[in-house]
Amino acid sequence: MIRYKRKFTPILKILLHLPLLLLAYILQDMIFTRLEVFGARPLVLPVAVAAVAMFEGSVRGGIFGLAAGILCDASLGQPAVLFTILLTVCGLTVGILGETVLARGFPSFLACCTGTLVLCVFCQALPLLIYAGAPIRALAMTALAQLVYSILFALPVYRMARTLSRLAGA
Amino acid sequence: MNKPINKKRIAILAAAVLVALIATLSLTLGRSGSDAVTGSVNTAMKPLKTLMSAIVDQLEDIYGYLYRYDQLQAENEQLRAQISELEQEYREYIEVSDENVRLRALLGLSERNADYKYADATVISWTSSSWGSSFTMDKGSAGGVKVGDPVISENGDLIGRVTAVSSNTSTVTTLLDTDSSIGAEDSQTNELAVARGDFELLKQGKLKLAFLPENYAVKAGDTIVTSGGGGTYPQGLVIGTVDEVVSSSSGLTDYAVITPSANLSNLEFLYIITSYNAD
Repeated sequence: MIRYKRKFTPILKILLHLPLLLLAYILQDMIFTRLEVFGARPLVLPVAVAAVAMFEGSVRGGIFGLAAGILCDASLGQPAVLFTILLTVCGLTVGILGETVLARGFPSFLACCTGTLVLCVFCQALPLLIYAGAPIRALAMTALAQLVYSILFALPVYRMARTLSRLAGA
Repeated sequence: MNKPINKKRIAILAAAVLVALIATLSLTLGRSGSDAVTGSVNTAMKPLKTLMSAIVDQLEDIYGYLYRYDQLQAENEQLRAQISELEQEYREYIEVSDENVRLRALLGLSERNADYKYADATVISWTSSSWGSSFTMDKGSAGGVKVGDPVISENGDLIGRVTAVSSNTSTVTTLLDTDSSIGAEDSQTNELAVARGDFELLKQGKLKLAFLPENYAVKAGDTIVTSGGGGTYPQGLVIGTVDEVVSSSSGLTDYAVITPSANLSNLEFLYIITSYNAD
C-alpha cells in the first residue's frame, strides 16, 4: 500500500504555527499580565520563538521571530523595535543552531530558550540600570523571577511546537 | 243469567293490585332505609363500584395533574422570566448607581476646574512588562486623546499620562513607572519637589518624592498634589499621601515615599483631561 506523505508549502508551514503564536500572545498579553509572581510577569512569546526555530530551522524561525517580536512589543506597550529585532535574531540563531550543532531535543531547546529569555531580560533591565539608576539587586531579583516564571511555559510550548512541526512534516 | 268473567279484566286488576302492593311496600320500607333488593344489589356491586370509583378518581387526578402541570409550568416560566428581568434590572441599577457616584464625583471636580475638558475611557489591558507600569485604554486619537494628556480618576486623583496613541486606543504610563516624573507640591507646606517612579518602590505600588528643598518640612500624612510647573499636568491633581520620609546622612538625597491616592491595582473607568487652562 502506498502511503502519501502530507506535504505543505513553506507558507502553509508557517501558517500552521499561527495557533501557537496566538496562544502565546494571549497567555502573555491577556492572562498572565495580572498574575504577578514576585513582581514579575512571564514572557511566553520568546519561548515559542525558540521552540519553533528549533524544529523549523532558521528561515521559518526568523519569520516566526519577526511576527512574535511585533506582538511582544505591542504586548509590552512599546514601539515595534526592540523585541521585533531581538526575537527575529533569536529565531534565526536558534534555527541555525538546530540545523547545525544542536540535536533537536528538549535539553537543546531548554538551553536555547533560556538563552533567549536571558537576552530579553538583559535588554529590558539595561535601560533601567543606565537611565533610571535602579539598584542592581532589585533588577536581578525581577530578572530571575521573570526568567523562572517564563521557563515554566517551556515544556508545554515545546510539545505544541513539536506536534505542529510533525504535522507540517518538517 | 250471570255475565261471564272477563279474564282480561281480572289480569289487569291483579297487576294493578300487585303494583300497588309493591309501591306501598317500597315506600314503607324505603323510609326505614332498608331495602333487601337494593341492599343486595349494592352489596354485590360494591367491589366493582369501589374499583370503578378508584379508577375514576385516578383518572380525575391524572387529568387534574396534567391540567395543573401545564398551569404550573407556565407559572414557573413566568416567574423565571420575572426573576431574570429583576436580576437584569438590579444589575442595571448597580451599574447606574456606580456611574452616578462616579459622575457626581466628576461633577464636583468639573465645578472646581471649569476649564477642564474630559474624555472618559475604560482600561482594556495591562502591559506584560515586569519592568514598568502602563496600560491600554479604549480611547485614542479618534476620541480626542493625544500624547501627554493627563489621566485621572473621577475623584481627581492622578493616574498617569498618555504616552502613545493609536486611532482607537492609547497607552497610559502610570505615575509609578520609572519614566514618570511629575512636578509636585506638598499641599500642607507648599514645598515643591518632584514625584518620580522608582523601580524598587514600583514593586510596592509606591513612588518617590525626590529633590526635597533644603530644610524641608514634608512629613508623613501630607498630601502631595501636582504643582502645575512645566505645563505637563494641571495644578492641584492629587498624587498621593506621604508614607515616610527617608533621610540620608548628608541630607542631600533625602526623599519621601508616596502612596498614590488612586487604587492603581483596580482601575476600570478613567478620565483623560484633553484640554485645560495652564495659566
